Amino acid sequence: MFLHPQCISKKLILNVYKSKVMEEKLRKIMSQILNLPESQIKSDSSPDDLLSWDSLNHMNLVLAIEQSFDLRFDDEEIVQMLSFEIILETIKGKIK
Amino acid sequence: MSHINNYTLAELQNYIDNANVSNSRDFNTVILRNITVEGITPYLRYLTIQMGFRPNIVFGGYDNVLQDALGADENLINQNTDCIMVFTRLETLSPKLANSFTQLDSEIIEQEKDLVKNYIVSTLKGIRNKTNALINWHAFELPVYPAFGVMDHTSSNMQVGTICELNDFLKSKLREFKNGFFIDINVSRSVVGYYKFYDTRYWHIGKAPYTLEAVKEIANENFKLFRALKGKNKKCLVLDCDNTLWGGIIGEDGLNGIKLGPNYPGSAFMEFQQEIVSLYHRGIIIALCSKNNEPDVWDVIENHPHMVLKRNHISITKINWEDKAINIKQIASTLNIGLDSIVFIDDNEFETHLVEEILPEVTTIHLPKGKSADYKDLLTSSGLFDNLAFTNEDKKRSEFYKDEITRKQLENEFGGDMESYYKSLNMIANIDRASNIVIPRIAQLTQKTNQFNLTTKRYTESDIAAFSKSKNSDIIYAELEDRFGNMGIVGCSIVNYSKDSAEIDTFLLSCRVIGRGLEKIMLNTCIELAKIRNIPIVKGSYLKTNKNSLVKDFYTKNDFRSELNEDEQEVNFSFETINNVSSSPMYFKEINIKCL
Repeated sequence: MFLHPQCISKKLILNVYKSKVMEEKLRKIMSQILNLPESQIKSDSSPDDLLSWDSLNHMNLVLAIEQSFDLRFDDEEIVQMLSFEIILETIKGKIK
Repeated sequence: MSHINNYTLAELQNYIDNANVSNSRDFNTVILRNITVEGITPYLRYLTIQMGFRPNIVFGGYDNVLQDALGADENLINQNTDCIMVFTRLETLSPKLANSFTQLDSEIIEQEKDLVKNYIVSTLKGIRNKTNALINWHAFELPVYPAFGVMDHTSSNMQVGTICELNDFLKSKLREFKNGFFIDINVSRSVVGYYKFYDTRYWHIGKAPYTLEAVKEIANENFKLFRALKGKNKKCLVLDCDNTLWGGIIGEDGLNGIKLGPNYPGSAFMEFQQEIVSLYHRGIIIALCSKNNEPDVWDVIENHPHMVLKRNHISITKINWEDKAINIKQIASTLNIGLDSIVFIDDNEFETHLVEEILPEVTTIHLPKGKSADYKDLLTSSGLFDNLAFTNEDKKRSEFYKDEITRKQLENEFGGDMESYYKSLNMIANIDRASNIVIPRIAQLTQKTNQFNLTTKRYTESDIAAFSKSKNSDIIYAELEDRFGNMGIVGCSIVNYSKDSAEIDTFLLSCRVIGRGLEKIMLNTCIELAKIRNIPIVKGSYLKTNKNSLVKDFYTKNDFRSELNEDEQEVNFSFETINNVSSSPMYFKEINIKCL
């Protein structure tokens, strides 16, 4: 099948845009739930380096993300979602 | 006023973190629990801020309900506690009854029931030893799929019957220990829906059973009581007419064209009107505010065969072509109630937005067009009018306000000669010590009275009962009758005695009777009571709020001396009982002081 180069790049741009939007949405939620400025939420941010990310706030985070993205995580996903990067990948995986 | 449903959890958290509550009073909530329920915190905080207070929420230890109630930690439950929310889920308190009921023989069932009942009583005793604060105890959840399946209800000894018995026991103990309320979480569950109520993952991960929807609903239910506790419950319902009380527009459709009757949508409007009449019988003042020709509206009310709301239910009307915000302000001032006591209902968004903008203290409810069948629930689900008690004064309230309007008209006729006017009222004042039967009304007065209130101390029924029982305190109340009717109990005073002084802790008068001189009679009585005990000084104080400036000079006007350190917010006064009091007003028909 022949895919016109213009179609491919438009699709790529759209995907990158959607990914950016998702990332910003997630960062905003985390900033609000953890009561931290968005600048402090980095790719590898985890409960180890963010003090307010305790088990209670982890639960609030999971529930807030489910509410905003209209998703439902399963047990395994919940306990593994322990960094910004992993959470983002998990969300992307579920939305596909 | 933004509604809690408009926010996601993240947005709510953001709202709370940015809210300015530095000038608000604290509202101290303690949560005793045997589950993880910290998830309710943002909803409680939001509702506390909406209520005008600064939230201070403390959780007791996990599954430490009884220990916290009995324990010595003064930082948890103390005199400053406003309310205690108790969560005792059966899954933790009695796993046998909750999870393995079919294995139990009758002896074990009895043992488990007794365990739970003793737990309840001991916890209540422990709490009440420390505080008279409001206790909101959440019901035991009824299993949706009970142990014996569909036949479980056939015997009261099966699972559902057993849990119902525990709930009934809980209710009766809450009544007995006073100021305790049963929060029926089963009802909250039915509103949200069973499958949206529980988060089974988090029950296993962290013993947190409830979803965001669930804790939101539970928080809302609790706040119906907290608002009543703080006197924030609404007292007056102001209604539009067209497309609110009936379908259509009377001015255009005529008496036969409006929709009101046994067929839809008229039946939905009849149901809505019935709900309004039910509120009338709960002591809520009903008012109309409609852009119409007045005779047209009265034509419907008097002559339409399917009107449920009648003239006698309505205390005041503003039916004209003026601005509704101005009309509502006039309603508030005629009834002498705060704008924050009013709920305004209209089908027209222009009107509801206008009132929201100009009178933000008024709670507005917009009725969506074409959904008349939903109107009844919109009104009842809000719980805006919920109160902690239902007194005789509540029952007769609307009559009082109609009498009040007649009085105001009469006052105008006397054109300023107040003494002659008061004389014409044939007032009879009765002053007496509080007895059990008047305790709810007196507590209510302390919670609701804002203007003629010297110290604005809010008390619950158990607080008042404690003052009443004490040998070192007196509670006196004033009851007033005039030629238009009996107004019931309209004032009270709480005095605490020591060897050296009698301190007036509370002195207040309902706004309906300000200016008649009843306060003079009450104050003289307080002084006499101190004289009888040979107490040399009567002390009073004025604690300034933004609503009670009218009594700033009350004590001074009545020959009390003010103390020299005049702090703007609190001023102390004293009166030596060796002095004579100036006499009560002469225009009263009868003054009966039954406690001297």
